[in-house]
Amino acid sequence: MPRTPSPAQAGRIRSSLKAYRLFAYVTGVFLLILVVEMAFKYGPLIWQEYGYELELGGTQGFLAFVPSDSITAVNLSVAIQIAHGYCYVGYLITDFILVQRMGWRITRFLVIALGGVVPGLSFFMEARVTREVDASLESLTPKEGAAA
Amino acid sequence: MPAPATPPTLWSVARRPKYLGLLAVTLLVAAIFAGLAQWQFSRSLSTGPVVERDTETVQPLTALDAPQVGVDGDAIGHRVTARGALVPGDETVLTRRVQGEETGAWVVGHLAVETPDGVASLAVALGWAPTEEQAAEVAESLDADTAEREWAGRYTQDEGPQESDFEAGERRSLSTGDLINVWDEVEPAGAFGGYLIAADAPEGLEVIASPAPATETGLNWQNFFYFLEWIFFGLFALYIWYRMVKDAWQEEQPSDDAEDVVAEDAVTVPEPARPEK
Repeated sequence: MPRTPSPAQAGRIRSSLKAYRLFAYVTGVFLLILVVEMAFKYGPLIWQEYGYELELGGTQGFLAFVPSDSITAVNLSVAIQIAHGYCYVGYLITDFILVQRMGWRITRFLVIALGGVVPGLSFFMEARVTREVDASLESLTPKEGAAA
Repeated sequence: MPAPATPPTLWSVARRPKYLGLLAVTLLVAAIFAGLAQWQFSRSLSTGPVVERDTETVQPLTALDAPQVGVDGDAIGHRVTARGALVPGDETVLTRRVQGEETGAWVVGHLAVETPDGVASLAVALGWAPTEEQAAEVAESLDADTAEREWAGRYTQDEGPQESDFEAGERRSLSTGDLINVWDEVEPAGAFGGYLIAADAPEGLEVIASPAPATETGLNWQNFFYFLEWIFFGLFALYIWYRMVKDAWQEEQPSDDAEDVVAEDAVTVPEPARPEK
């Protein structure tokens, strides 16, 4: 018998869904930025000796793509990488809590976790997860609108 | 739901070839993670080679460094002795010198020391005073002290002159290159690149704090947390395998209608009773 969430859990499921969705969006956006960043850093190596990184508040202006080795001010590229790392950890934690509360199989956790690794996939994953959780919550709670 | 005659136990599910295979994969992943954990742990203990050198055995300055050459790396921070006398009138006061948590002033003297190459100039930080006025007073009184004697202290690399605000007539850093311009004249054998922090201060001044240079590298906390992180990932991999087995086992448990009715109003879903092993 597969486990199903109880009606009393609906509130907790809803809040964990909210947390998961927040991290899914933030991590997804960071990942897309990272893809652009990597393209700038490694792409030019095909035809020249150096790539570019994003510098904040350097000599080339407030925000500028500059050759990787020439950064003296804040290396925004690295800052984004670090921020993405922390966000992904938050994504994994909220993913796990949601899967736990929904009583889903643990493989579901792994699938959602991988969704945060492939650029762009987290948005589709998030939409599907939200749809399923909503549907399952609806079947749990008696239709209040219909009763009235 | 068609239920099997006897529901499988958790243990029997775990022993199925599928889950044994998954266990092998899980253990491989956990082993890789353990290897990474060990690597991070060793890195957390030793990042950057530690150069062990003895700076606390007092040696004659002339054995470690010579005038008119760049300061020798091994001489920096070493406790030394030098024989010589203060050159009267060559005292300088440096402002904004920090001692503990207080900001005050240093009195710096010009020492004429004996070296194998002849008499050479050595800057000596004599002591610290809480105010510039107090330091200046002591500096003046030192003009009478011209006796040659044994000086002891710690030999240190000099600072850049950039810190000083010369336009305002303020001298903040101890730069030998700068002091040479202040002194009446440099001794025949030239000047030492570094300076001496005197172990004893003249009356009216505090001894300048100069602890031994730190040589130990402590625990690298960043690598240590990576180490904990890999341990956690390894354990989590094993937990995921356990959950896979449990999920499969749970789905094969016969559905109990009576239990379902209870579950309708229950606060939490009652777990199906786990069979005794």
